[in-house]
Amino acid sequence: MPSIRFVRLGFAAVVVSLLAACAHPINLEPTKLPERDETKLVAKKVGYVLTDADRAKEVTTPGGGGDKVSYYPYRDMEKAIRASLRSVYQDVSSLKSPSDAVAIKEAGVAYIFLPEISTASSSSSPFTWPPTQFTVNVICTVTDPQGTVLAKVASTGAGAAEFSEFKSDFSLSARRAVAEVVEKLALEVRKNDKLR
Amino acid sequence: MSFLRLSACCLAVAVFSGCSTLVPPPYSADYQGLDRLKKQPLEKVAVGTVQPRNPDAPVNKITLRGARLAGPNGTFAQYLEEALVQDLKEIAVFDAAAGTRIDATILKNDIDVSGFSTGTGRMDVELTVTRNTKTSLKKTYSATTTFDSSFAGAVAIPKGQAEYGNLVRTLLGKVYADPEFVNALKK
Repeated sequence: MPSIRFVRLGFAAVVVSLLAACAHPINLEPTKLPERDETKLVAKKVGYVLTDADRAKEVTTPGGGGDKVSYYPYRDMEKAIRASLRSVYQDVSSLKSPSDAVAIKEAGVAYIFLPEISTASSSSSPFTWPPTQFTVNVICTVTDPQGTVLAKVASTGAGAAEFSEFKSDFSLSARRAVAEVVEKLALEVRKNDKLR
Repeated sequence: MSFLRLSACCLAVAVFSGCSTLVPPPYSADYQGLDRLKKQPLEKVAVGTVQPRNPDAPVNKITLRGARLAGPNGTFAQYLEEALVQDLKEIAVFDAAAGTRIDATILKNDIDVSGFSTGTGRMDVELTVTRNTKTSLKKTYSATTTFDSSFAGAVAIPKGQAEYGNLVRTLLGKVYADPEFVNALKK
């Protein structure tokens, strides 16, 4: 029955190639958000800029077994970045552009945060695709409403997850990394005297 | 090596399409819409128990190519309720004891990943705003979403899983942008 064996082999090859060509989607919603203590907030309004293009940006990085993972870092991390700023400042608003003078004036913000996000992932497993290691870097350029740069704050988060943990949450290492990076971002903003 | 690779792929498919129940990612709001709503002079508002609460109700059951997707706390009704409360807290108008209350019932709720290249989401919700026992708004809101899917279940299933948060975000974004809803909550 060499022909049946050939068909089986061909089918397996098609399945493998189809799966290998795809990036597995994960999400970057953090496992934990920075806490907001109403008694320790800086009494200022701030804004952060995320464009529609940022939110639509899909990134693909390595997973395990030669596979890849894909995700939307800006869209998925907006809640976390906002929560990070809300843990420092009284009021936080989203802005579409750093140059939209009308929206900036209307929002009445003192500082404008422009986040840049970069990520990396890897896995020590040859058999499972979810990343066992994930790192995320956030660099925020902070300006006043006129566009003058006041400061740059940066933070890095790293997350790890083993098979026994991520079998029910394939995004776990990434979600842990995001939780760490936004917690550290809040600390960096809080300790910067120019941003009080 | 090809055998190992095939085994790994089969394992991935099995993990995704096996009997474990998948849950949607944590809800994240349409913050631009929420910030527009924040600028309005709104009454403090409570949120009633979003219905239906029965986990066996059809709207609380979504199947993604055989894999079950369920609300993290049992029902999609609770997921929607927690999303509403989270949003109203974000703009500081939530008060569980307020005389103005939002009630909601999910009428349709589905993520379809049966297609090989495109998936769809659909959600219909009847929303009521009551001010001191008087109904000030009763309206059905609908949201539909489309997203890239795949022939491979190992990709299509998590795509569908991730889409649920986007579907709820799209629906609530429509609610917050509706002038009738804003007027129903205005001081």
